[in-house]
Amino acid sequence: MTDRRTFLKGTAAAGASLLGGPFFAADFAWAASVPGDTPEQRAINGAKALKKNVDLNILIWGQYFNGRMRELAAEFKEKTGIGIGGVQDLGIVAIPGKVMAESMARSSAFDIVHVGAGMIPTLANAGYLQPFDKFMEKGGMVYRSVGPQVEQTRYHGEYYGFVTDGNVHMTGLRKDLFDNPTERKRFEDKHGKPMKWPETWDDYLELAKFFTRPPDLYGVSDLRSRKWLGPIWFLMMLYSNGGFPFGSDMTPTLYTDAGRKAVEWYLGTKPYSTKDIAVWGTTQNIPFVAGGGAFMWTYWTGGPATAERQNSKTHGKWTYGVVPGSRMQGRLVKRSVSDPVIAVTVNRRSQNAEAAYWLCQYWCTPKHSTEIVADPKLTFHDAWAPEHMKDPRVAAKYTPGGIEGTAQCLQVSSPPILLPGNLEFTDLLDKNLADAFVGTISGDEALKKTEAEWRDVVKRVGSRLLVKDLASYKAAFPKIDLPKA
Amino acid sequence: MARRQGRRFKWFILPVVTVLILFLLVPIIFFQIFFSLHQWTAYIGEWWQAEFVGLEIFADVLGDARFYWALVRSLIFAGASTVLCLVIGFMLAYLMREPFRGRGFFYLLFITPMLVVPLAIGYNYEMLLVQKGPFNQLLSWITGQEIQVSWFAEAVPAFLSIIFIEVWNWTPFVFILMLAGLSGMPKEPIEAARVLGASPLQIFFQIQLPLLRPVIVLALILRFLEALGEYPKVWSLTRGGPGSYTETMPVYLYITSWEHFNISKGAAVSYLVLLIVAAIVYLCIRILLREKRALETLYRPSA
Repeated sequence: MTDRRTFLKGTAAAGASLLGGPFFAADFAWAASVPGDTPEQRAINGAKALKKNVDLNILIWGQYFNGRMRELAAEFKEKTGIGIGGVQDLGIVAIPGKVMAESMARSSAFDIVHVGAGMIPTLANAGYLQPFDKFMEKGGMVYRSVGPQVEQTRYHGEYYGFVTDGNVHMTGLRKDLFDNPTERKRFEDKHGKPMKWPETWDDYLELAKFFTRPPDLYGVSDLRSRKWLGPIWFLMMLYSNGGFPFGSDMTPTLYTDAGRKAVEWYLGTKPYSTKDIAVWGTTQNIPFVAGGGAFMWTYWTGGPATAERQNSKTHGKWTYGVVPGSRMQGRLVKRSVSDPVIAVTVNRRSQNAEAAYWLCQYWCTPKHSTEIVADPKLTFHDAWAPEHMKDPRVAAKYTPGGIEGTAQCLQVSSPPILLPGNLEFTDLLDKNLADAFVGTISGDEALKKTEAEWRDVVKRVGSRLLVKDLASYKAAFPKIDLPKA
Repeated sequence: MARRQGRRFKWFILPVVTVLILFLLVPIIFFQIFFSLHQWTAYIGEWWQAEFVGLEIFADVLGDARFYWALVRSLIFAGASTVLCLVIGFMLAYLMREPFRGRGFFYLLFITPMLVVPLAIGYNYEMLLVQKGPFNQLLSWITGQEIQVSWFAEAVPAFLSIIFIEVWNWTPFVFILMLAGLSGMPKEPIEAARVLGASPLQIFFQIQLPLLRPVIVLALILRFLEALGEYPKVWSLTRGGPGSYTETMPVYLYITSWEHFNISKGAAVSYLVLLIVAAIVYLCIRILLREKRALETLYRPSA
């Protein structure tokens, strides 16, 4: 079974790249034992075969369970008798703690949990999550992403969830300023070279410096606040330098040339950002940037989608593209990060685990995931699948330039620290980077402190377990240096 | 007969005591002790299979600089906000001690901050204190200077801001206690002092304040303990930032237990904090009893 599954997955991935990939795929259409021409139809038939009339409980942030996602759940209920009853609305940052509490209590209270894929190794280890593979085969699920996002929902070779929000970082800059002939001349006179799209993080900081004109305009507005995933930006920089947080024996490897350069870039945005960036989250930053406060940002694609709304002061003034990279390895390498990739997962202890799975499949087929992502009212389910990139409704929401930029960034997107205990690893890195950003410690000290604290975590969790899990972490990396157009 | 009835065991309280033991004491005492002596991370194995490590976890906590910094921040935060709550709350209560027209309206106005949900306070102050926000604009207007302090982006302003918001939120609590104390004060000593020609200042410092001391000490204890455990406002405002400058003990404990899922370390930290708080409470009770005895001695009717 495992060999057949692996063969099918491998065939699907190879086939996909021949069809104009690269993308990562799990295509079980030809393995389906449930009748139906489409994965949506098979989800319905699979659910009907259970002959159940049940309302499932879901733990999800209310911003996600809205619009088309909610409508699809209602349709599924009508067709199969299986729907959503109780909705526990909790912020995405609070859900991991809540799920862990549920896991510790061996609770079956929630059937479906919508959680960051970074938590999958932790929750799978805790025995909370239902593996999907046998249902995916049965239901002939088609599950593919432009970049390695689907790999983030895979752990030790099994899928544990389906992505609904691809969440990748993309760079956007103000084209009204970038294309302005006066600005371009000034830049060229100052730097002796034409102003162009930032290919490296050095170019990024150079542009940011040029366009820093407080108090009305800051060069860049990337988050650096505690608990707002500052490590995402650091990891982009580290990965593009060829760095990786751990060695093959789980020895932390942050204080390296790659790490030191990354932290230098990370801290380098400080003079070109508003002071408040040290404590801002997305709720403050998006209106600031959409209101014209910054020339450039590297952000989740939902941010640009909001900035492009009709009532935004900077509507139509943005251009988007792939994030900067690094030439540290002797060639240009670009790495974005997809974090958090939010996925629907099923509680292994649910009394309706299979029913919950069928609803998840119904939501996350290529057709329905496109409808969810294209919903103009929902800006939180970001595009991730190849079908999303070609859909005109998605292009209308993100702008054609935005969707092109998204597609490019997805191709080179990398995971967060995809290991059991990822929240702890991330929090320790986050805290030390935040301390460095406010000047309590230096960048080098931040790296060394983090390494020391990570060593304690590795010792406590067990290096044997973590070394085994490195394979899943590394499988979620792109196989190319630069995106294809 | 009456005495025998008073000494008989009251069997009707047994169900309540049983529930308290089963659902309060057993989880807190048994499980907390268990987890603080056994190394268990929530996603590694079952809790009953956790390895016994003795006092290693306590040693780990006591060797963790982050724990001490969190404790120091909590003590400074609680101490400063408690003293300010007391001073302002007492002043407001003193102004309100005698009835006057519109007193009810002012009473409502003064207690309103305490009625607001902490998270709502956090989010609102986040907007008020932003660099280009209304608070800086007000200060600029008052001073005639351009004031653009980033209240949450720098260490000292961030820490002062959370103290200020805590004072704004909880001064009404002290105000209510002080007002009750002032209203319940016996009038005879004050009348007698007036008749004997004492000045208002003498009456305040030598009669009213000593009579109020037990209430003041009670307010200090309750407010301090409450402030030590303050979490929702700090979390919603700063999440321990900028950097780690506002990472107080509750924030540190939350992160340890519910982000690191290091249940054992969380249990050990909780116990150490419990010991520290118990020592503070014991000291305060000693002071309170001493105040009570002093008051009783002062106003014991002469033989």
